Amino acid sequence: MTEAILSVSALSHKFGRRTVIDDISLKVEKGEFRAIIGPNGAGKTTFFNLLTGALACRHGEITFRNSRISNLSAHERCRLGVGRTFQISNVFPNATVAQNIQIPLLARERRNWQLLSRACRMLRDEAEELAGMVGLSASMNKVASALPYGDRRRLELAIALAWRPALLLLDEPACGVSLQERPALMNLVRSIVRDRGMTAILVEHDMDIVFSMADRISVLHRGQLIAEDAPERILKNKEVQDVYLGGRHDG
Amino acid sequence: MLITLQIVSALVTAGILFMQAAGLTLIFGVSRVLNLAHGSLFMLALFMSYAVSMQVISGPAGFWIALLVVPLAMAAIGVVVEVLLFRRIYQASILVQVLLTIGIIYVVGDLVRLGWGLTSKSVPTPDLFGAPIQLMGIFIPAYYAFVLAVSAAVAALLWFIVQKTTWGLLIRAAAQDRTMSSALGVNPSLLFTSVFGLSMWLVGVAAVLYAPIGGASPGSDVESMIEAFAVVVIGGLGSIWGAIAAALMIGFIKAFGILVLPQYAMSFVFVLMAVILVIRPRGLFGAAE
Amino acid sequence: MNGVELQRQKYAGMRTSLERLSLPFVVAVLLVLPAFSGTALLLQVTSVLIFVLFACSLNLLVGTAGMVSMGHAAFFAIGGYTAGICARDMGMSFPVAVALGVLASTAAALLVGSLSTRLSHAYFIMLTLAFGQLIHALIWKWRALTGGDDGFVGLQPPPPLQSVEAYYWFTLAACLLCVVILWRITVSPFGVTLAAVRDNPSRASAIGINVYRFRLAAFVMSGAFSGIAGILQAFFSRGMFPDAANFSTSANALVAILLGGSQYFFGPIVGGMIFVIARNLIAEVTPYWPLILGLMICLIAVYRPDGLLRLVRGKAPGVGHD
Repeated sequence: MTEAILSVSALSHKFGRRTVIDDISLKVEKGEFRAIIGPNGAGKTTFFNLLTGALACRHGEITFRNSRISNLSAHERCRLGVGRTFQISNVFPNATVAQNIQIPLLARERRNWQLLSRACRMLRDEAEELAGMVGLSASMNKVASALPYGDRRRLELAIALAWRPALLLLDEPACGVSLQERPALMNLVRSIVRDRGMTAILVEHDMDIVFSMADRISVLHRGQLIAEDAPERILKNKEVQDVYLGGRHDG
Repeated sequence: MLITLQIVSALVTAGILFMQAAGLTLIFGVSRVLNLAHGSLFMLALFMSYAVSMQVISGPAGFWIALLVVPLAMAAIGVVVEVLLFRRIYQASILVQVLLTIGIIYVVGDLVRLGWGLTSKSVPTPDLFGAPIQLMGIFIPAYYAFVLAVSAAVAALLWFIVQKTTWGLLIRAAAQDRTMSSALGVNPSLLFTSVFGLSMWLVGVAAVLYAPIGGASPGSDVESMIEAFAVVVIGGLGSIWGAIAAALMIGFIKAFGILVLPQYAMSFVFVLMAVILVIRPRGLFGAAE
Repeated sequence: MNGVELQRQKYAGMRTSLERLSLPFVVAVLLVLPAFSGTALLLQVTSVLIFVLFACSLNLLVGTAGMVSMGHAAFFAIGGYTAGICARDMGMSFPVAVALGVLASTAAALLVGSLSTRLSHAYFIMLTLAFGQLIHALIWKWRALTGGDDGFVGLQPPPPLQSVEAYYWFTLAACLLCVVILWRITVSPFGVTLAAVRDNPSRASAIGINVYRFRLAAFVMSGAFSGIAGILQAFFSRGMFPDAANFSTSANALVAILLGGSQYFFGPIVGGMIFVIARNLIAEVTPYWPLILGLMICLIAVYRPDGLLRLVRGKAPGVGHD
């Protein structure tokens, strides 16, 4: 048994009077590829936002690499090694691909407080390397908002990788990407995660992707964790079939 | 004795401040535009009520006609300004929105200078309220009692509109989510225009009631803008109930601050604002993001 | 010029062929001006230079950081009053007075900024305006120190700078130096990060950027440079009046930024010159220049929201969408 890199205990969150995350506890092991599934509105994105600090965590605890992070802000968690991508492509739209990658690199190297030096050539080699890794070498000088959607998702991945995170949270990386592009993108994600020895948590609606990539799957329903198991066993889980797969066929 | 009088004057200040700030908060709630010209339009209404009650109709009836006409004229101005200018900048950057309202501040300020010069004008208390009335053993100006009654009535009317009518439902829906009101099948521009009209009507009522107390002065635009901002910062932007609570707090702070440090009564309001910001950054009733 | 290239300038700072050609030209004109012009024009140009520096300081915040401050006149005035009081009433030497003036503006900006930069745009505008007016009121009422509405008068620059021409050279050098520093900040890692924070704060904090600290730092820097402009103004006009701290001073600078275009580093420079010239021209024709100016601002806000530089450059990207 390997150590847990992330452990969540008794995490809850409310929007007004509505409970969206209800007493979730889970552990993710180092090197694991975990998927979180659940019908729309199950609380997956809220869960991610709580993990990364985009939402303040009021009830429960999050421990990452043996230190408590639930009281830290988003940028502090990033520095400890939690990286993420967003559900809707979330890049710096007016900056070029190169600048999009340079910005987190500058932050990592703590050079973004330099006031009088020019930013444009800084850390360019590493930015080019990252762009090459996600297949954007040819687009370095294009403005992000002018990229095709699939490329923007790749760029987002490169931004998230700039800090060399130990834990990568992927919020529907294939969302909005055409069916033809999906396998290539997901293969890229898988190989990067494996090669860099990262731990990953994936939220995704495309079940083919989930079942082909995940080591373990956690199922959320109405803010509660209702099952957690290996993919083949999740398929056979009665409760999951009822509330999630059943619900999916209804809707 | 003095204390009771100060309480009454605090309530009067609060009532007028509430009517003025409620308009600002309503407009922001539905359109997310911060109308910096709100104070200028209040000043315009002050001079209009001076004009109606002193220049056009000089007689006891002047005040009453002003109370009827000025708010309606302000509502009409609000509708025109919304349709001609604001409607075009809802999607624009915040800098453009700020500048449009700065432009209006210049225009209104100069129109007032053009129309009434650079001196302050005083407006007499209506004859009907000449004698003080006795309340709980002390004498208070009858006009104060009238202002209190009108502001309470306006607050109740506003509560009724926002909570009980379809219009109010749309205002609340738009304040929560701008896309929701169009999902409800309403023409959003009609909603924005009508809310502008309502806000300016409130500003008009506040101004007519304030004119006999504070007169109409050319510098009152910035002053009343800052006071309205203090109300919405303390109460929470977009919250009408917050505006009531904050107006009351400011009314009391000003009324009693004057007894302690007459020159710097407004500074106490700023101290309160700073304290609220540190402990509750979105104001007393502001929604969390 | 295509849109893609233009948008890149927003992050890399902007210097296109237009600036490459026009900047040396403008500097050359400013350098030979004293040889040809009379005192009156030199005084005019000095005051335009100071106004342009103030607008450029504010645009570090408005354009690069996307935060619309309505209270920067306060830091302008604090710089001027502090340096003035130190020099006239406390007998300090000119450099010490200037340093203390900048320090005072910086400290005031730190105080106001720490209360206002954590909040959303609407709160930020209201708070900067409110605190700016508070400082205006304090200057107005603290007669013993500031002279109140009689103004703070009788201030003299040190003897070598007392002639119109000498003060012109001093102002030109100071403004050029400050504008170059502001330009370098815009294209530095700090400036690029600031633009990233402006465009996508949630993404910025997810990649380890402390959004609040960057905003506060931009606010303080912008306040400090505004203070320098205020100090130049105080010694230029031999004193200071409370109106310098009034919100209309901030509003004028914002108008200059809008006129030129906040997304161009040269926007406030071009806009500032146009603003002063237009105001003086209108004021010669009619006493009602605020009315005309206000109408023009409304029309520009509605029909030319990207600024006049857009006319020569094509579309600029929008800023500050919340």
